[in-house]
Amino acid sequence: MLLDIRNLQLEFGTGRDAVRAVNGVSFTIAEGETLCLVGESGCGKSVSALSIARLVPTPPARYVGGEILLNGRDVLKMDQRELRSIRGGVVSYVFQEPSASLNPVFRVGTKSRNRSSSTARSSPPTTKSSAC
Amino acid sequence: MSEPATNAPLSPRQLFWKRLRARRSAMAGGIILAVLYLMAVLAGFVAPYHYESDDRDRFFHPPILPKFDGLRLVVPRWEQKEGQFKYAPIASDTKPIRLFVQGDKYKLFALIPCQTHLFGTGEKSHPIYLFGTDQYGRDVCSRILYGSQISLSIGLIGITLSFSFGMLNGGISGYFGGRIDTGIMRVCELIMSIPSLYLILALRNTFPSNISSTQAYAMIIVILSFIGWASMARVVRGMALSLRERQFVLAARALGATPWRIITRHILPSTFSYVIVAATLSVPYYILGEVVLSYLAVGIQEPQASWGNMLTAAQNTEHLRNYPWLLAPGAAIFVTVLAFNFLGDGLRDAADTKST
Repeated sequence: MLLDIRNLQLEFGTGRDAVRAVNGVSFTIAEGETLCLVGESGCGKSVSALSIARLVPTPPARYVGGEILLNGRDVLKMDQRELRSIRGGVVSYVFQEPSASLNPVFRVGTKSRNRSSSTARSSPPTTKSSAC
Repeated sequence: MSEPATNAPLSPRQLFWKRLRARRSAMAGGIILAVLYLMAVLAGFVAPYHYESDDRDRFFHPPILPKFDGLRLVVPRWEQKEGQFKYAPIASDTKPIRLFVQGDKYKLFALIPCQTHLFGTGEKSHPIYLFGTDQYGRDVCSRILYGSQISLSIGLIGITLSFSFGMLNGGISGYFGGRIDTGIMRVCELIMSIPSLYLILALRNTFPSNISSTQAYAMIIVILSFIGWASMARVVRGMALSLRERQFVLAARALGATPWRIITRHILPSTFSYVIVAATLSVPYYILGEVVLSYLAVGIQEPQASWGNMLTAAQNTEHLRNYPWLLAPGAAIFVTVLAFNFLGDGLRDAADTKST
């Protein structure tokens, strides 16, 4: 199983005013599968998806339960270096409004120059804008 | 039917240059600064005399200005009158000004021994002191040119050092937040809360009193940079706080970029438009900082010329009343500061696309 999320629970804030944005979400994705998460606005789809690479900033957010198993390893327990190694390689994102993902300072064609200076990827995605 | 000609939209950089060129005062400031820096680099060549060469017969000599004789520029000989330091020109005894004359020895770019000067008469009997001489008989104009090497370079090196350090600290502080942010910002506030003049003098006293001019030059840069980085760090930190929420930063994190890479490649480059303007508008403070230090005799020492130590003669009101050309370095400072301010204002207006 490529991705196995079990009973993920995520809260924003602390104490009595804490909001549980993700309350017991579980799903699996096998290799070659495509999964579509559908829901109304604000139901926690983006936060669940961002949690796969632990991109939700954890000062306001807190993981209070569950595990995210990526190839058998729990993402919620990984250290920063291991997280950076899976980001962009095993897990990558195309965000809403893809043009906002491009840094306006760079020209789009700075592809090869930027790529050569970042860490090598074991399984590079097919297209990766180097303006990020 | 022929296609209507369409102009491709200008890139942000092209738009910026177009707007900058439209601002006359900024272009004037830029040209003046270019000329000043060029003259500073070639100071030994442009200056008719060496900064140390003293003319023992002509202390406190008034400015010797050239006149037109037909189509040539000529310089009259001046002679001493009765009374102390009184001189008058002899209109009939003139010599022409020539280009590329031989004169005092100097070292071009501090390396190449040279003796050719841009202009002069070539005759010791007909000196050309465009701004007169000082109390030791040294040509004020030449000393202003040599002094410009120190004052102008201190400005550039100073802001390079302090703004690099300030941008880095501001970026780190804004991106990480938390205790790192608090720590760095408290240090900045500490530095900024002490009145700068006292801080400068206190820092000066941590160095030994008698230091060579080169050491004094380095010390001034270090002191001024130490004070200057704090305000830049604060502003960059504010910009970093908002920039880190942008989606391209999130995209970079999602691709596994390290914090260092995000700060240096994404956050800090987005602050450049502000930083460059702030840098241009800050250079005058470094120039004035050096002037203050040298004026108080804790900066560049004699016989080295700097705009600050040349103005120490201005402390004496007798001198000011009788020999006002000694204030010429003040005019040089004024022109330089004004040029930087015009250029900085123009850069800021050109970068701000929301204004006309």
